[in-house]
Amino acid sequence: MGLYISAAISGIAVGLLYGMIGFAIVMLYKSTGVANFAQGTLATLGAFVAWALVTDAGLPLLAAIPIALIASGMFGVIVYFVVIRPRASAGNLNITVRTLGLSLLLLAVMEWRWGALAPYRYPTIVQGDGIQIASVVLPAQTLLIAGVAAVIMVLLWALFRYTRAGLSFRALAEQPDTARLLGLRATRLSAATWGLSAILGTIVGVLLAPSAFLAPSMMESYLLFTFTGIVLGGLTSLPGALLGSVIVGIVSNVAIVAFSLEAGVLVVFAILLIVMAVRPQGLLGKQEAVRL
Amino acid sequence: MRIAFNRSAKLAGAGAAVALALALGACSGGSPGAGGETSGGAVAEVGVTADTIRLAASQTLSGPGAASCAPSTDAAQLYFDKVNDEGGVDGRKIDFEVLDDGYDPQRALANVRGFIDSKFAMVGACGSATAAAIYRTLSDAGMPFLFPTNGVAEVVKPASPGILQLLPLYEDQTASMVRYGFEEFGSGSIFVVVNPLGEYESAISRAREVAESGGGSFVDSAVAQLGTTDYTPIALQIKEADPDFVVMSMGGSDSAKFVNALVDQNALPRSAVLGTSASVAGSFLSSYNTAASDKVYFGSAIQLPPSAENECTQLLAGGDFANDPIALIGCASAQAIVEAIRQTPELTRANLLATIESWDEEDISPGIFAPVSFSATDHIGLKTLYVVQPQGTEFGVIAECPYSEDENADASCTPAG
Repeated sequence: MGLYISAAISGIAVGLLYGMIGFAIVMLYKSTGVANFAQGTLATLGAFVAWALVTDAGLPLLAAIPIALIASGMFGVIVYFVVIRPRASAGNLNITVRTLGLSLLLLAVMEWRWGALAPYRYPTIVQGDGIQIASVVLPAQTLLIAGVAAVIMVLLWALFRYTRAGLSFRALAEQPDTARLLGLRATRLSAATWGLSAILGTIVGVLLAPSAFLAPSMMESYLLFTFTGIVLGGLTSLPGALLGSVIVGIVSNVAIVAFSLEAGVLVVFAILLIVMAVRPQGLLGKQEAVRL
Repeated sequence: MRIAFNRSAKLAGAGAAVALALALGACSGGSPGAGGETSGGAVAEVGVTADTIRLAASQTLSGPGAASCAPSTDAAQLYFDKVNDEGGVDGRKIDFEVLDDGYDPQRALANVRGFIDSKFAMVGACGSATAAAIYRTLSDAGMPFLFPTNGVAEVVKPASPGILQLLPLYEDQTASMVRYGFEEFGSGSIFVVVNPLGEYESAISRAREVAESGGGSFVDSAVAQLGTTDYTPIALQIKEADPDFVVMSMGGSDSAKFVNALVDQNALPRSAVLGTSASVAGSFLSSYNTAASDKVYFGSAIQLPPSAENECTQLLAGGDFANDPIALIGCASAQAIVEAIRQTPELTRANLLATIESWDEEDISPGIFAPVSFSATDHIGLKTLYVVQPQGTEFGVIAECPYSEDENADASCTPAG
């Protein structure tokens, strides 16, 4: 029993990580209606920028990270204007496919620039032994991830729930034409969302790289679990993204210690299929109402 | 008028037939593996001209295994470039083409089918699954497949014509490493963790057989896909099982993730972590937690650090792959291929294979590979497995073990130096 409890606790830790990746995807989806498949490569690119500032420019990590965050925010805005905005009326499916293409392009660029010597050992932001709960040790970096995930979730939830900007984001996603007629600056809002999404990605990349090792394909394995988590929790719900991701983490880790690693993946996707069949909007998502 | 037309048509038809016959004749003269003679008496072979020898590789250049694999063909390319800069092999330059297969057996097979009629030989690359997918096609075509990094027994046991590898199979390596661990620390319990590299079930079963026959016990095993995101659950299982040894056969990055999870969870075994040559990679060195150094012992196909006198050591020094064992293996394998070509009097595929099968204690890459021996029935060249430990950013040899496929052979290892 102790082993299962330990596996569940470690599952919460890894689930929080999946949830953090999911925040950026959910935020963009809530704001623009687009599922961004380039989120993983944007995160990795941001981590590589911070890495290059440390290794090439000789900056300390804590100085490199803010610069990388600013750079990635600007890059997110550029991505919006160059990749997303042209012929934006082509529809969400078209835009979603563009994000897939962007992901492949960024992956190729990173392989070309940094791929030969990857993976790289990435410096941790915090040092220390961490804490032990049951028989599982939660390293200091894992605790940092949990803390940052909580802070980001609260900030984003407050942004969408209480601020005028958040309301504008939601209006733009749900009724883009009406929102424009009401005078919302759609271009500016969408660009800001892409910038914020890229910044969130860089935060995730920098936090993940010490344990996953920095490489162009670092996020590939994580994205599968992340998308499962956010669909499970509800694509439009930030708390849902976190809840779904934590469930994925717990279920997969307990299944792994009970059966095998393959069973961990199988159980997660079985749950995903059941939820999509029974409750397509996810655990905390809202069912879309269509006015006839 | 009509008669004249028919005569013209017949003449045209006859001309076309002659042209077709000439064309077919020209084509058949260059058929794959023909090894026939040209009008000048010189032996003609696919991929060999008066001034060029065309070699190729299908390599994992994308996906989770790319970081570990790519340096081997990159380093081989460096060596071939060096040979070309020095005038080539008997005046012939080496043209080396590498295509990405993403560790996908079907892509590897497609790559190979494109090479058979235009390249002289395949240079081995990473990937047991890909090697297993392509070896029959290569063997049937008579195209040499020289020195793949392969863990699937059927590729080389029994010996397939044209398929020769240097590295011992992972199943034999896990067996050797368990023997070494028991010699050093006394017999005990083992927990085996593998990535699906080659026939991983046999790597587990051989480790189990050797442990049980050596007075130890088998606790459990786990199979993890390459690129697994979180090894914590397996580390927790090992912590609960509390074995004396953890035996692993995993890729470089995954080895580092796994060892780091063992350190994080205070789950390192009492005696040692014993691994195969799959872990001996730059991607392990760049990423592992050094707190585990004292307990980690890997089998290695090459001497580490390599001799400073070796051309490959000098070639890679100061470059991107200076400390990468995979790059050293790639470069030293290229050395072996060039040496085999040099020793082959009339360069045909059959003659090249005969040259390599005649090697007995051949020192193909002194200071990197131990001497290699092949025969018509034995297509695994190395008979020595080095035991190495990570020491900072390098591996260092601490023992040499005679490698043998014979389970009953004397497996006593000797300390290095």
